[in-house]
Amino acid sequence: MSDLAVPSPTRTRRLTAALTGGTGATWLLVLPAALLQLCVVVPLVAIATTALSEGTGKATHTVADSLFLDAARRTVVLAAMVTANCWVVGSLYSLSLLLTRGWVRLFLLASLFITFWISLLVRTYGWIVLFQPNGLLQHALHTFGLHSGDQLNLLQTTPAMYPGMVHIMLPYMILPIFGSLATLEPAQLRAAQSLGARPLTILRRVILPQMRAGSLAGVILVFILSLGFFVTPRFLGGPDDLTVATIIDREFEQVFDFIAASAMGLTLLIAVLALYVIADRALGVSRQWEHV
Amino acid sequence: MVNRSDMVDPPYQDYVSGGFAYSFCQAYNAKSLNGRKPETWADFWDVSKFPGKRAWPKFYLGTAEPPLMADRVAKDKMYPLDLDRAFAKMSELRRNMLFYESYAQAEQMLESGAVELALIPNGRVYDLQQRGAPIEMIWNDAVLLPWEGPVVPKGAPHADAMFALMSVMADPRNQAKMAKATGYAPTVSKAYDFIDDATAENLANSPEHKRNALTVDAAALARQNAAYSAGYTKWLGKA
Repeated sequence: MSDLAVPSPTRTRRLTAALTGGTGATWLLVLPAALLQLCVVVPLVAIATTALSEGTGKATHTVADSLFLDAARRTVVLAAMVTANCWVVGSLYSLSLLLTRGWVRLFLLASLFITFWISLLVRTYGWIVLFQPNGLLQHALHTFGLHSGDQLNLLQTTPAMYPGMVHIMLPYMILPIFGSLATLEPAQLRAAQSLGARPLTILRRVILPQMRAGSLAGVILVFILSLGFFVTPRFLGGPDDLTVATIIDREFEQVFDFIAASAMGLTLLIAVLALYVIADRALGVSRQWEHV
Repeated sequence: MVNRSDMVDPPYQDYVSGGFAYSFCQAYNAKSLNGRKPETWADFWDVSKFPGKRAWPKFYLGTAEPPLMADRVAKDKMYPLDLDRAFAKMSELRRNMLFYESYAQAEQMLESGAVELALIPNGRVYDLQQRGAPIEMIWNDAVLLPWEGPVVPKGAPHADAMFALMSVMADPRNQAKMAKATGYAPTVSKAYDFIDDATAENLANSPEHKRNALTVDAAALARQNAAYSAGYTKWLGKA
């Protein structure tokens, strides 16, 4: 497996040439490197110093607290569920994009990009309007006779978080999957058909292998982004649906315990990095990016 | 020298001026309650008499007194707060609470009909009423925060300018203008000379509203602040 982590020779050579060659391209890296230093490395060092400012004891105590562990468990489950749902819906959506033509395809593409461009806050607020008691969903259910009597008790509950989170994460799943599917030649499908393959066989032997690279990229991307989810769970979930990100915010905003908040942030970062390294070793994720 | 706010508790007058007073009260949507009218905090807790959601803050200030009044704690026995009893009473209503992040969100919940009742500062109801929303307020047993004021951090470079501003804010005429514009009450008693009766109807420390309110004991509350804040955050985080 170790060969997966090594960049391909041509890519390395090109990069080395760019850095050392006489083109002067090296200088182009100064600005981004400085920006990275200023906006990522410096704050991270500050967070790490704050987290450990009262020794490792306080930091470990914070992270071992049952409230944080519950939030961590809830966050992992949430991220996994969102990822699984996104993969199913995202695959179907990508296949539809591949198989449709004309205005249907245009409509699907437009919906995807418009979703992507509308602010996350606005989309989350849309779900609030839909889910709130006496809201749109309740009225719709009433109209169709599917719900009667009491108010709809959905906003600020755990189930209310899922549709919103899947909605917001979906483009990050569709784009890589569609990217890898787009290279599939329609002729391949016709060839499989003419050689006698049934639809399920085509799906299993032709389409799914083609989707693998994009699926992998999408799954990793959505899972990691979901681990840091903040706005959507905060507004659609209840106050007891604490995720790692909302609990960090709570430490900052309400408890004013900057050390605990930093320790939690650091833990989340380390977990995400470790996850990425493991995924990279096991599945060769960084190599898959090249195909996306 | 900064103008004094004489309605601030005497021990704090040297440190606070130019602020305003307000009440946390219950407000309800008159349209969705259909003519029925809650009167006490016990009514606020009575979900069979008044079905529907209650908007409730995600931050602790003003949250302990209403449940204790609903649980029949007398106003003069309120402080020090029996926090455990307050949280237990709040838990009874928890399934019917919809939590808000900001007072603007509380207004929005009331106006859109997502909640029937709300625990909310009186100025926010005043704002809704000014805009013609069918929201009514209950002054009975309101939780009156008798004063508050701007904070100048020690060693602030432009403290003089801030003190000058506070003096302007503590001017009785300006306090009266503020009251008319926002429904938030003056902390300078002379301001009432410039306040008309219609405006006084909406002010938390008008003689009539003050008589029916629970006035917060700032000194007693300050002693409990850490336990109160931490306890509320914990209560909020656990279903």
